[in-house]
Amino acid sequence: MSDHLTSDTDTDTGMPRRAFLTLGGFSVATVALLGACGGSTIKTRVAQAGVTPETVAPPERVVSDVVLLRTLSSLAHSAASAYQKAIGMGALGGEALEFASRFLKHHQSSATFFEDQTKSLGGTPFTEPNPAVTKNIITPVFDAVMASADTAGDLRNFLHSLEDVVTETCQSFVPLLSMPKLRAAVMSVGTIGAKHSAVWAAVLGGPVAFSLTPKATATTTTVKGTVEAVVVPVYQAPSAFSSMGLVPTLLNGKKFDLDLLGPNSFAY
Amino acid sequence: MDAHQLRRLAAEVDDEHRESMRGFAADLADSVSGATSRRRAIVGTMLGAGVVLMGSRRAAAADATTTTTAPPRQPDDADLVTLVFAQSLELAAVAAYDVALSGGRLDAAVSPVAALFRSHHLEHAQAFAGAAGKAATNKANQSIVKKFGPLLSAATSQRDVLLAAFNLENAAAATYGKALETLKATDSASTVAAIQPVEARHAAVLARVLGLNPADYLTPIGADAALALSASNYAIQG
Repeated sequence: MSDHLTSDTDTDTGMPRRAFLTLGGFSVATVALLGACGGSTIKTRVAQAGVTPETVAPPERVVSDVVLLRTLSSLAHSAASAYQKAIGMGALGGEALEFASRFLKHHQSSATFFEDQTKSLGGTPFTEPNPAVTKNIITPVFDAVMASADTAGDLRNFLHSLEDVVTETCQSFVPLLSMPKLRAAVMSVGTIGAKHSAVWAAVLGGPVAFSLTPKATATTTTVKGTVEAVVVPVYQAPSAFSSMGLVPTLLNGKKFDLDLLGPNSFAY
Repeated sequence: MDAHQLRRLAAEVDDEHRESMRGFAADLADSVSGATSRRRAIVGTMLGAGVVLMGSRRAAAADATTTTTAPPRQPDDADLVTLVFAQSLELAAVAAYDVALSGGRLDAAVSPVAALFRSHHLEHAQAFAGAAGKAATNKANQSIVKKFGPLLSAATSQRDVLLAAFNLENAAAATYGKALETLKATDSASTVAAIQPVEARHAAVLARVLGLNPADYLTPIGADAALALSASNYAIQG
């Protein structure tokens, strides 16, 4: 230690060293505290002219078990509403109509099931179709079906894809749910959707009951004016593992990709 | 205070900082002797700042309306028991389809489908082996083989073979529904959730071929739960 530390007072300044050290230590601690609380305020900025655009912070939304269950009841209501519309169009017949009627009841039961699960967690059940699904899937799909020359075929294509959306959304929620029992409950519905999808795939395959890879096909005119076939493969058992990607469907000769439900379509 | 004085005082603080890093033994000795050192003053100040920092964190925690603990990603011992059983179930399904495919009872249209389903079960077994790690036995569950094997061996028609396979697929899907009720690890649950719908699809495909009444295989929520197989009733070694 240096000699000048043996005295409590710095003779050059008249400032007590103890006071200085205490002040210095406090200053260091304060800087550390402030540094921990926020990022550096010194940032390189790109030169900017004109009015600075205003930004609004995104709303804080918590994805909880209740939110996920509300989302699933909304999805089940959306599916039931789609089946009601499809049946109401009067284009489905035979076993397609029979399956549609059965699956409609299943989706209604699923909606009630998820509403009950929501209540059991103290949440408020979501009892309407999902607004994002209505806007982004149901409305444009039925617009396309109405304009189609093959209404029944397009409805079968869509209902098959809709079941995949239900199954895969349930599957995607499994790691997000905090409780194992809820995961099992969600997949009990997801599994039913998988069976529905397999049945629709078989129905799309026509009279050959055991064709695993029937294809829904149509021709379309490209922007260059050439006519090309659009192929959307439909599988009863697509792969060894259930996927969680975009779900393709064929409507009025065009391929549409249906999204699974994500944070932007959750029922918060 | 000029620059020279500032540098000197800063050097002094640095000396004190280095000295404080010698450890608690020296501090303890100082405190026992009653000496009031600058080192102690600094350490005390820093400690105080630390308390302030910790206090701010505690305050933030107290402000939160809920506290949550994220579920684990990796399986614990109880999860491993489930995963090991699931692998043995899948290998038993592979063995069952081997029996189904033998003896020429399946026609040319159905055989490739049975072979495809067998390959799916083999992939499921591999997935569970990966999830279970060293705990995996890599053996077909002999209790399950005993349950379904004789039905498949004794089957004299394609219909009987497919009916046994249908029951096996339904049991597998129900088993995974039960497994999800207890699995804590999210990775393991995700694996099961990717496999359970495929078993259900297998069952639906077979049901269509068998011409079963839709009410028998398109069942309401939870109706198949009783079909679940468990590790306690179906020991891997038989």
